[in-house]
Amino acid sequence: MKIIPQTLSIQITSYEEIIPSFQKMIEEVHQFQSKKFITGQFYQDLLTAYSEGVANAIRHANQLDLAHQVHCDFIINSDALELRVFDNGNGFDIHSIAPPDFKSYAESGRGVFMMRQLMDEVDYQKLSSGENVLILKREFIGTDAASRDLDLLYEISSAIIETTDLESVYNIILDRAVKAFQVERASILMYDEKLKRLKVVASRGLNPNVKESTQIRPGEGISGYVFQHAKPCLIQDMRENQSGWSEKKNYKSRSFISAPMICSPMRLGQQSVGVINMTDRADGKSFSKRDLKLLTTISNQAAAYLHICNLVAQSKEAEGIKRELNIAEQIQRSYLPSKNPKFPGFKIDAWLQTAHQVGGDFYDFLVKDKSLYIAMADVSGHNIGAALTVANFRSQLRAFLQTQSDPAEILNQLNKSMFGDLILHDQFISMVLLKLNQGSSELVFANAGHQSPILIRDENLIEISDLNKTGTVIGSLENQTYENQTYKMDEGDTLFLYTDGVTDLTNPQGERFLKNNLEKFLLKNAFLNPDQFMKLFQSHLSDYQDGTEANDDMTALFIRVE
Amino acid sequence: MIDKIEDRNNVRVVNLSGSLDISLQASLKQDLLDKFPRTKPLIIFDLKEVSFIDSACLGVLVALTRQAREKSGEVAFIHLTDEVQSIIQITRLDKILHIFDDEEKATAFLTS
Repeated sequence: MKIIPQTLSIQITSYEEIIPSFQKMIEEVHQFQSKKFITGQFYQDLLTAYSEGVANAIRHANQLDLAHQVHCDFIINSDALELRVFDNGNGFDIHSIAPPDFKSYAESGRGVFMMRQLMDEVDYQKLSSGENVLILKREFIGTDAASRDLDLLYEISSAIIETTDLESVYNIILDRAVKAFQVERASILMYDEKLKRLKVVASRGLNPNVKESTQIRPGEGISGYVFQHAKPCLIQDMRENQSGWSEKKNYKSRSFISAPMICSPMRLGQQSVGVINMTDRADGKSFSKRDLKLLTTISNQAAAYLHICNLVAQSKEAEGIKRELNIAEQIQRSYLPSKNPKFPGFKIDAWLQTAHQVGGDFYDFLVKDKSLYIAMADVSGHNIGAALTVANFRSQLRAFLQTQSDPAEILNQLNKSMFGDLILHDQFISMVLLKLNQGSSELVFANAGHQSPILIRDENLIEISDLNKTGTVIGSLENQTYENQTYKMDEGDTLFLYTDGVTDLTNPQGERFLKNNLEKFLLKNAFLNPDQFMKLFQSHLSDYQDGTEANDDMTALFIRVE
Repeated sequence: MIDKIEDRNNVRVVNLSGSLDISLQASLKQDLLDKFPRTKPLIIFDLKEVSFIDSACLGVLVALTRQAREKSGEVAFIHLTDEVQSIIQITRLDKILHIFDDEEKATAFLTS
């Protein structure tokens, strides 16, 4: 049955509405396309591209329009989701946008660059009505092969982001790609500006002499052709020519490459910086278009990252690295709720402070079917890798929350889906997931190795999580089954959740804040309103810290039952 | 960080010390991997002198335990300070890690 395209429209007037509007639209999309849940990395990529597109329209394109209203269409086809963002500005030629200068993140061009990395199709056109439209298109992931592709990409991106050493980046890419494509030979060639030649910088299954001696001019051979034209190329047979490559174009028989092969340029915008080759499939089969597409995506991802590595290598100055971290911090911040939830019967405030700019702490709220879900989590480590894990974790949590309403079951699913990634990076996640129901004072929650929530009732502090019902941290036991716990709360009760960054905070004498200081503070101040409490709590911790650098993220959540 | 490493009764005893936090994560892992027996590793981590451990370094110890088990080996932890005991309990990693009061009991467990 052919599915008729559906169009959903929304108007956005401010930056604050970008993320909520996206969430709202995706919920509606799901109602039309129940089988095509937009989840995981797909959701994240769409959100990032959508945010860039809408923010850009608000910022630049609607300067004349006082209302700053941006119109956006979500078009659901049988095989793809298309986002169209309309604006009334002067417009620009998207094809002339050069790759951004990564030294200065503020510069324009980054948005377009990011969108191109994330979407299958990015275009910007002037309509006859005078309006401009930005078109972002991404195919649905339906098949196992597609989700395997996605896993590979995620694996590569999380592995390379851990290192800034070029050699390791080459090796990570080659090892993963050789395994995924099942090839016997593979190579990465980078363009050497001084020699004006492509040189093999890393290879598998290649004779070392060939590796050392190979230097290719742009335009020469397949690699040279692909490099010069910045177009990927799939060759089933050496005599065949696809993508315009032909034997006449300086192909030399002493080439180290044999068919079948796929070759993709590593591109920054329209410019190539090198190429990746995959040759000789172990099973003798030929490559598919899908293979070529996957290699192209890997190449683009690699190019962007190698570019950053080069810059870091060029200038190890702290300033540059700090900027890179600031970007990651902004990404992390964008995952946190922009405001506290309004939920009848409860008053809530939350606070998070990252250490070293990038952190592993995370909290989220979601209201669904008259229930409020509150998640607090701490991903071990606080580097860019941890921030990426948080990003992935957040989108998975949101996806499971859409289909599940049982906290323990959601933790089970998160553990299963995150396990592989987490052990790969020696990471784990401690987490509590609470569920509050409208019109009920019963709290249901599940705990995966996180500090117990503390209930403050009159003059008493109660750690409500039962250790026997607490499961191990997510990512430590693959077949862990989590258990729900319940607690009956009363009017006037306060529930306090925190991460260990709070109790591990040190003062200039090297003493930690610890739980006893936290408990003293709670007993003294828990009667305050949530926002007053949070302000006081922050300044109290800051006084304790007294200028010492915090080693870990700190997060606190305050819930008052009314 | 790593105070000393000694082999006794077919078991490698590694004494760790100090405050093990995120800043030491990478070097802790590398240094321990360098000292990791290649086949059937039997290891005791003596944590007597460890005043603090955060989740990042705990992640390293859990990863090494997992690797040892994959190579048919096993890891035991002894002499946990209150601080360390507390984080292992909160994270419920006590369900996964083998913890003993002293080296004798740990050795008996590993070599049995």
